[in-house]
Formats: sequence, structure tokens, C-alpha cells
Amino acid sequence: MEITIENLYFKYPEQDYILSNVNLIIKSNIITGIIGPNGSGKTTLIEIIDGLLKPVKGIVKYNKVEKINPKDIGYIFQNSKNQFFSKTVKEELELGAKINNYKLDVLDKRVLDVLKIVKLDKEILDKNPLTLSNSEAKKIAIASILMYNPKLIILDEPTLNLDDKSKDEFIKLIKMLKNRYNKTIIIISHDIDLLHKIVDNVVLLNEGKIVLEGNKYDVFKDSKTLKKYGLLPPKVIMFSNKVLNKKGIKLGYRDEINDLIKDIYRNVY
Amino acid sequence: MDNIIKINDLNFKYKDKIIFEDLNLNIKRNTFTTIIGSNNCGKSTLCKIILGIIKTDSEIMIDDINLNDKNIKKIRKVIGYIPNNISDSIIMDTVEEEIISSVSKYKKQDLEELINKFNFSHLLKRNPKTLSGGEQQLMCIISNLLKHPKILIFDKSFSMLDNLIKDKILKMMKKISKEENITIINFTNDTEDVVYGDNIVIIDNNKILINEKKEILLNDEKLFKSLNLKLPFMADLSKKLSYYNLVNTLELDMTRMVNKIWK
Repeated sequence: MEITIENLYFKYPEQDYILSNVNLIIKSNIITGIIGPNGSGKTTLIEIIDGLLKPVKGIVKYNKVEKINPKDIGYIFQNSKNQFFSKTVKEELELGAKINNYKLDVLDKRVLDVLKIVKLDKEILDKNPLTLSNSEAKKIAIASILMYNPKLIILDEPTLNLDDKSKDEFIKLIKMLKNRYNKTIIIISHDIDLLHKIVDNVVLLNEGKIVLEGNKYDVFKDSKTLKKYGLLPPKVIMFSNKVLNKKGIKLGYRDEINDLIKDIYRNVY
Repeated sequence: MDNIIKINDLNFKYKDKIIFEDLNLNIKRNTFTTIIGSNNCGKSTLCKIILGIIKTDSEIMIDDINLNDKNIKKIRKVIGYIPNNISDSIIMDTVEEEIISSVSKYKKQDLEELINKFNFSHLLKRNPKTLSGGEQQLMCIISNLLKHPKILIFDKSFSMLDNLIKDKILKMMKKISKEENITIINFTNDTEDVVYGDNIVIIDNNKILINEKKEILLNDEKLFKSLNLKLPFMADLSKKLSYYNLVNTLELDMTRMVNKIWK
């Protein structure tokens, strides 16, 4: 689902603008990362896209239409457990399906289908969602929105407090949702190295304005601008810049460390 | 060097679930230790036990004081603590007031020195709630250092920070640990943090699996893999460059690494 944002402004009454003059196109079936310092307006922007907040000025179009269909969007909170209402995981998942008026037999199948997508066993269905581990809770939160098959998935700091293994599983899941299920995905994160592995495009916000935007190669290469806003490029890009600049070697973008090492090897020997 | 924290045979259960079984941990005085382990391995619980928030019957010595109800006040004077979220605990209207709010006695000169060291003078009159996440962490660190703690504990304190300020704070802590003789313990989910410290402690399977100098541990790719942990970027890079005979030792500093490659 393509999102078009035109001339968007937002503020709470009697306060300064949190977002001003935001113009952005989020293309269909890609993963967009939103980065920027605390208070730059990241969460406000996705809450407007989600329809939770109404802009004071400007428009948001979903596939060229100004009207939002809540069924089209799934929003995953920073703390997944904050979005659980039910006593069991099964009930929690069924809640999401009610929007679609699933019949009981179809519903059971859908529950098993979404569990399969997030790679969890059906034994989890009887558990209380609040007793899940951080990683399980994140997957169940994603599963519960997949129940109604939204076109756009928005995730706020999804890997906060996840360990290395859970992060890897998360990366695979998000890439699969894009590639196999054609989802459009927006991720807010502080973790530049993680974003570098997942996203196609990046938007850098500062004080409510877009200060840098484009495909990840162009944004993450621009270490000067990133630094100005308190960010370091992904480590592999930092290393790539340092090691190649030292010898004045000009290469294309290398985001795989193994490719970069081969390039260095060729230049040393 | 003696051990500032000594934990002997710590056993702890939560609702019939064993969290720690005969856990032993010694932390050397004036070192910087990073404590890692997979989700739910008990990092936060161990942190709360050391802080005296969770009570146990096991023998725990902190700066040669037995951690029990009678000594808890003495021990709180020894330990400084930087939580994950500062914003919720802010009570004062200015940064300056917030820094001194939890300190009963302090020398004005100490405060001035810390303000200069952390380059904080331009922020003193600001409302602490308007500071960035990183600045709030620094404010909390200044407030803690004013009490001259012997131990400074970070509990996932950097998880919400942008990478540039996080790098800056961890480098400062490394320096402070050496200059001011403070023992630093960083409980973290981010394995990248280990490169800033001296030692790495890994919690696994209800106990301390390993407590070792980082230079030794970061050569052990197999160990990290077996525990589902990622080697930090620079350690992984060292390993990969060694396959091509480009660098033959573990190098955690990027600039030095570049120099070694082109030498």
C-alpha cells in the first residue's frame, strides 16, 4: 500500500509544532526505517499514518485515497504486552479476526496459519499472553495483526530488549512478510545496524522535519549528515568508508562484510 | 586486586522456577565488566539482587560488607545505579536541582568539576524532562558520581539511545573507571557493548558460565555461536580478516584495524 503524505503539520493545542511541512511517499511493498533523535516526531508521524492522530494541516493518502480503512493497517507497540487484552493467546489472536467476521472453522485454521508464519508452536495458544517472553510476545503481537491481513505494518522499536537470536528471527520474519506476503512495512528504531539489515528506504527526522531521505545506500553513506543528528552510520559502512578512503579506493556500496573483505584482499595483494 | 563483589552459591527461585542455582560471581575492584546472556537468563534479577532490591539467603559481599537488611544503607552508599528509563523518575524543575536532589552531602567543587568534565554547564537551567535520552543518562551519571560510589551499575541503560551518544557515554565510563577507580558493571542485551569493558560475564543455564577478559573470550567464535550470541562487529571482522591473512590478531579499534590492514 502506497502512502502519500503532503504538506503535513501536527501540534497539540497551545504547543509548538511537532511535525511541520512533512512531504513523503512511502512506496508499496518496501520496508522503510524512520530514524532521528528523541522528540524528533517519529512516533507522532506513525500515529498519524495509523489514523490515531489527526493532522492539523495536510493530507495522508492510502493508495491515492484520503480515507483510511483500519483493517489495512497493523500497529505493533514498543512494548507488545501493552497491546494484549485477552486471557489466552488464542483469544488474543481471535480478537484480531473478529474484524473479518471469520466463521469458527475458518478461524481455527487462520490461527494456525498465522502461528506458522511467526514460527511458534500451537502449545502457546493456551498461555496467558502476559507470561510470554519478550520475543514470543513480539511474535504474537505480529500474529494478532496478521489475523486480519493488513496491507501496512507499522512497528515501533520492535527489537528493544530482544537478544541476538530473537533479533535474527525478527529480521527473517519481517523480510518474509515483505517478500512473500507483499506487506508494506514501516519501522522506527534506534538500532542503525539492525535497520541496515532490513530496510530499503530511510527517513531521518529532526525537530519535526525530514532532514534526509532516500534509499538506505544514500542515507547511510552520508555520515556527515547522520553525525550532525547524533547518529553513526552502520558499522560495516563506517569500516568500509575508513578502510577504502585511506587508500583513496572508490568502490560501490558494500553492505556485506564478506564482499568488502574480498575487495580489500584484491587491493592488498 | 581484590574482589569488590563476591557472590557465593546464590540460589534463587521465582514461583517454583529456578532462576539461579549455585551461582558464583566475583567482580574485581576497579574493572569494567559487561554482563550478557540470552533473554530471560536472569540478568535483571541478578542486578536487583546486587542492588538489594530482591532479597535472598545467599552470601553476598559488596565492598567487604555483607549484603543484608542491617547493612543495606551502607551498601547503597557504595553503589551508584543508572536505570533504563530516567524520565519517569525526574522530580525537579531544573537539571541542576535534579542532579543534587538525591545527594545529601556534596562538595561544591566536586559538582563544578563534574559539570565541566561532562560539558553540562549550558544545560543546568533546563527542565530535565526536555533533555534528550542521552543527556538524561549523563545527568543521572553526574548525580551518582557526586556521591563518590565505588561501583556504578548500568541496567540496560543504553537500549533507547542513539548510537553516537551511546558510544560517547561508554567511552567516558571506560575512562572514568580507570581515572577515578570505580568498578563498572553493565547489564546489557547488546553484545556490541562488550568491547568497551575489560571483562565479560555470560549468564547461562541458571549460573555464570564464564567470567573472563574480553581479549580471551572474543577469540572464541564457537562459544558465542553455541550460546546464540553474536560476536561484536570488530571481533567478527578480525576473525574474517584473519581467514584472508589480512590481520592476524583480535583488533577492536577500527582506526588501528585500518592501519594494520594497509601496513
